[in-house]
Amino acid sequence: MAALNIDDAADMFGGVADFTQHTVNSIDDAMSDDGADSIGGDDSTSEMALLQQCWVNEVASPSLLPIDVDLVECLTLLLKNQLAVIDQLEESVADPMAALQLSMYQTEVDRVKYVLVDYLRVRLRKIERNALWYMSQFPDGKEYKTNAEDETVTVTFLSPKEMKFCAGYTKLLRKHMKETVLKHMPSKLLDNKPELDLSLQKLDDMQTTRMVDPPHDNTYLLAKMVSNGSQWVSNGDADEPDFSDYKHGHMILARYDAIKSRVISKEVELVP
Amino acid sequence: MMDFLAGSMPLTIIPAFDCGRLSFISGDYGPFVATMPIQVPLWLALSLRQTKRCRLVPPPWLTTSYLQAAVDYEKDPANEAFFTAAQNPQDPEGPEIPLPHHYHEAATAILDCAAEDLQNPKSLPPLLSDLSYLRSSKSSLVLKRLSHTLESRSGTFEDGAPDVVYNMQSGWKSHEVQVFKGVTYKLMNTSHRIHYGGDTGPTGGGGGGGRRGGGGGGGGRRQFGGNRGRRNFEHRSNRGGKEDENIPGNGEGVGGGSQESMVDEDGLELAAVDEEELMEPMRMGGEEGINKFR
Repeated sequence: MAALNIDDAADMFGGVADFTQHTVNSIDDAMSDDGADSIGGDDSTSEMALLQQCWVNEVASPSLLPIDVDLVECLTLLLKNQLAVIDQLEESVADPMAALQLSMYQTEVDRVKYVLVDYLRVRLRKIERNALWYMSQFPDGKEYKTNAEDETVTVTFLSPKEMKFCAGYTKLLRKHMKETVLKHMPSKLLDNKPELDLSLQKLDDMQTTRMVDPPHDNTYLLAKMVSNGSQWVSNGDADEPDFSDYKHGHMILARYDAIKSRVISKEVELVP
Repeated sequence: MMDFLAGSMPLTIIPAFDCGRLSFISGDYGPFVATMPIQVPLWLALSLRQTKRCRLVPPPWLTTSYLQAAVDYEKDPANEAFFTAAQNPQDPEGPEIPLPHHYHEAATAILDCAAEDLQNPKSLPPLLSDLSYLRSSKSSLVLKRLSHTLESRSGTFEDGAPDVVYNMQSGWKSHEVQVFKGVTYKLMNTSHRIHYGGDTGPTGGGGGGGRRGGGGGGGGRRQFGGNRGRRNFEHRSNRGGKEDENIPGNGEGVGGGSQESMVDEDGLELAAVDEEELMEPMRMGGEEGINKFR
């Protein structure tokens, strides 16, 4: 995986934004925090603060979280504009005031770049680890769920470019597996039909063993409540533990499985 | 990473230059007028301070009186919860101000860079280290309580692990969390594995099915060979009570009896699993088999 620079990142997300109203609305609700206590800082709903929170969640969680493609695209554009401003300033670098402004702008751009690139990189690493699983779970990168009002809610887990990466990676992986191992498998497994493409998915379907590993969602994590547990609407999962005692700002220790849907709906944030 | 996140904390500076309104990605700052205080994020304040373009105004929580109040609160054995807020020394009639989430990182950075701007800078580091010591001893109490809870649950092996959520208190700040989570994650994941079998954690590897259902046996059989070494280590540490894990060691030592018998069964199980594991790669091919030898 070559080092990701900002131009690559911009290219990756230059495509059509897949804007999910669902996630953005709950972000705005959840982010009305006092500055001293939230990770966001200066302006709680600024793009940078939102991205920082997404980044922190992504780093802490063992499996892939939904991506707000719109947010990433917006930040990439802001970065590009700021880089243009910096380039302009560089022409008049003799002027001490310009030099000062230049250094300030540059520091900030470095900060935003760091978060954005690390966010994308963490996601790519997670995709690589469980590529086959994500391909089978999200064939077009999105998850479709029916909510309480019987509407279909789409949540984007893989952006279009990430989908492309995942597809390419799984293709390479399958080819590698085939060349090194599967070609030499005993014919019993081939069902006497050698013309069938023997793939890892096929072995999985035979249910002898599970060949495709899902990501490890059963690790324990610390998380922080963003909204009061007693106000939560049940998400229909009968196994979900009782959160009504937990208020905003409470820290909880739980298996990631148990809180995953709440992290996705931004009612709980992970602690880095 | 914590230092980075601390960077967005707002701080007041007194710039030594004049500048118009500047628009950054994270917001607009300015106009900067020399000798007039202005609020900027910590990263900007520190970067300007290092080039001697400004002076920091000491934040109210980074003063002797505030930190002393914090230390006194934490020392008081009646206060089980973490210290959260105290009187603003610059504004005695006003509301209490909370201790910032990244107080430790911010304080270290400010003391490093701009100690002369603070009042009484020599008194602050000992207060800060007292505070973090007291808070981390409180967090180890939480950890002890947690491990006791785990022991009391050790008798119940229902099918599948319950989705239990443990309540930590509120008031945790960034520093205590970092110190706490290293030990805690290991404790939780290990005890989960001991009680419910299967694998937790990224170093475990495949056999996802065993996670929810089937107790120790069914899950345990799906361990990778590479895990054997790691489990052996934990086997020993459960027996001995290692020095570097003296915090959970206390908890596990108390319930040592019940745990040890668990480990014995585990130990026997280990022997059985070893042979099975050796045979497995020959029986099944594909990704898992390859992974064993990776």
